[in-house]
Amino acid sequence: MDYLYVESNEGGSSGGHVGLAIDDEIFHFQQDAAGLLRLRRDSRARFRLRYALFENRPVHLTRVALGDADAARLRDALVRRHLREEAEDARGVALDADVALLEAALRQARGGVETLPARAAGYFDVAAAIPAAALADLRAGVAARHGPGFLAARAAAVRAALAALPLRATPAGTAALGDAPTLATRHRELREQLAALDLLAAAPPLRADALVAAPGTALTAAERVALATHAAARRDALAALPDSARPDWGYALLLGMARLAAQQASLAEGRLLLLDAWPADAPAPPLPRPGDQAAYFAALRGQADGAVARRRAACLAPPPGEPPCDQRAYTRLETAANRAVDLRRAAAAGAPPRAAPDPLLPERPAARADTLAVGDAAAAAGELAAARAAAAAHRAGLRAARRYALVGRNCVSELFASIDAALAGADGAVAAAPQAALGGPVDGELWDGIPFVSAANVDDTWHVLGHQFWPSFRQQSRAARLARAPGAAAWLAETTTVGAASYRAGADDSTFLFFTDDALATRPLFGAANLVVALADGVLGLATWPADGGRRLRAGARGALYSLPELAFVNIRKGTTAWLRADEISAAAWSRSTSSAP
Amino acid sequence: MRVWSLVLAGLSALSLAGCSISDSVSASFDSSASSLGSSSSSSGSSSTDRESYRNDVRDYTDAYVKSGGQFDNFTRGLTEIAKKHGVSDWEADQDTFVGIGAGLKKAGVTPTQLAVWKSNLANGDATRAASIQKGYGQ
Repeated sequence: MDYLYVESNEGGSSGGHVGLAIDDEIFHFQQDAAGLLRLRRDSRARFRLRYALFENRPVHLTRVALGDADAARLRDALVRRHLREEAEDARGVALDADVALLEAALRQARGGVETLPARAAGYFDVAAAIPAAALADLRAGVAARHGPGFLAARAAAVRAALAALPLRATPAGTAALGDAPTLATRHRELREQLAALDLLAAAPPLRADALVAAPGTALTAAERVALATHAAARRDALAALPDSARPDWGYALLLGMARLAAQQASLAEGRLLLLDAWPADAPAPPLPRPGDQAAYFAALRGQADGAVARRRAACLAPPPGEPPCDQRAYTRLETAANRAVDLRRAAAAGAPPRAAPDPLLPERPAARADTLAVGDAAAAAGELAAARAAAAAHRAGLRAARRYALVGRNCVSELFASIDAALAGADGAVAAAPQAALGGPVDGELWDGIPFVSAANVDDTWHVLGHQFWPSFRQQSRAARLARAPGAAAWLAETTTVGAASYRAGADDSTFLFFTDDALATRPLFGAANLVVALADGVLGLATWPADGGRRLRAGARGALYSLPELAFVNIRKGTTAWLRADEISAAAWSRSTSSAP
Repeated sequence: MRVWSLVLAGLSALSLAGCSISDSVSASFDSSASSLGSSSSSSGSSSTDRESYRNDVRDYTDAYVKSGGQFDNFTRGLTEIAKKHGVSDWEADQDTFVGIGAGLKKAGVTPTQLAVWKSNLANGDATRAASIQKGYGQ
């Protein structure tokens, strides 16, 4: 097991960060936008990419002795907490959806006409007269499997269930893993079932804007065979879904139908066409500075095109002996193609590309107006009030249980509390020394909740087997440059933001001139220079406000703020890395880490 | 040590935030993390990807059983786990059932209880039942 200490940077990480690595997984508590602590579970590669390379923050690992049984118990406890938090967050979203649904019900009861969405139904052109052959084949498969009248009977049953669903607010509940579904969840499941059955019966073609064309060459004969084989297997599996016992089969069927139509279009046109998988509300973080944008787009495009080529080969040309393309591989190909296409669009428009984590499961919704029963306005108003109260109670419960506090409940204190709880025993009782298995308690004083203090305490108290160090991207690049061309000129260049070859300023980086993380002796001097530069930039920002919306002024103000600690020999700011090339991700991520004995 | 600790605590308080990350590099990170994943997977459904999926299903099943949740609501959470792995039709993926079997074993479910789970989840499909049994026996 490793205890990780991540050095600070400006922004929301000025105190540093900590995590716990068990095998390949790293568990760490992050503060989310709502101010709640959330347990994250990342692979080592992903964690290092995020923190050491993009966030430019060196990571110190302390290898700690812990028996296999205790390590397994600790991991299981952290996994259970992670799943419980996800259930809590999902419950909050579902309770908010209850509010939205009952607001719609109230408006409808007062005479309005409300529409409600069904995910993945928005890919179909329901006004088209010519049916899609792929969906007609699937419809025939369903009839062959379940009987000729099955689809109509199933749709009638779903319609009846939807009409009979009482529009009653869901109580806040316990937010445990096995909580019963909320009203909005059940309503969505039924209306997506209905949408899937109706669309399957009509078998409409895809909308003209439903697809994106993957960059690359035309489909080869072997790729066409692989794609047709995948489509046939999926068609057989999809035919079973309308009779599934899982309550949420509607979306799976809708997505499967849209993908079948996309695969049919690919085979017809001889090129790889995939569903447009981007959610409508995908954020587009700001671009780096104008002078950096060409290199930024080139780097991202290199990664994206490489990913498409690899995913295409994995799905449509698997090596001998490997299984044929399955849902996982197809989704990865679809995601990679969507990223590559979006990058081309963004680069052409000079706009930021969209951001969303993998995988991008296509969900484009379509609205239906016939799924919400017209009820009594007074009753709907009463249920709406109850739903709002339940959502508010849930939010209050989450705040009480997981609210971040700089002192007392942060990423350090919560991690140690989790360790204590896991090692205290299965009954949850707090043993006299739950961290005894590790060497002794390391938290107790107020300042023990500071990340770098906690790392020192771990080093002093726990059974330490050794250390490892993951340098930041800038540290790696600087060392490589100085190894290639040692000398004062290179050293000085790498010390400044304008001369460092590897510094690719993130859009939110503050204004500064000198890096001070590797310059302890000269830190106050560099800090003073940084302060002057930042203040000057801030003053300039007053003039440029109309053009940049205050961006330069904010960067200058933050730059001045983070220069102050440097005057007292304390470094917080390290700059971030706006982009990495594909070769840097594969090479830099794992090179130059150092290990040592205790 | 304590003086420096307090100094840093004060400086941390300046920002009134901590334990969070910058969003400005999100687009690059998401794209790069995608590349990172692809470099470790060379096949259509590499053994690493499949094992990761099975393990997540196993952990969810174990946690679910230990939480005392009712079977009726089990599959909704399973849908969310599968979605993270790019699987929407999880009934068509035998790794789902192998993972469930492994999770039932980890949770200490007895063979009698296992038979009930198999009956409910396999829904008469012998292949699914065999996959659950396979995961339970591993």
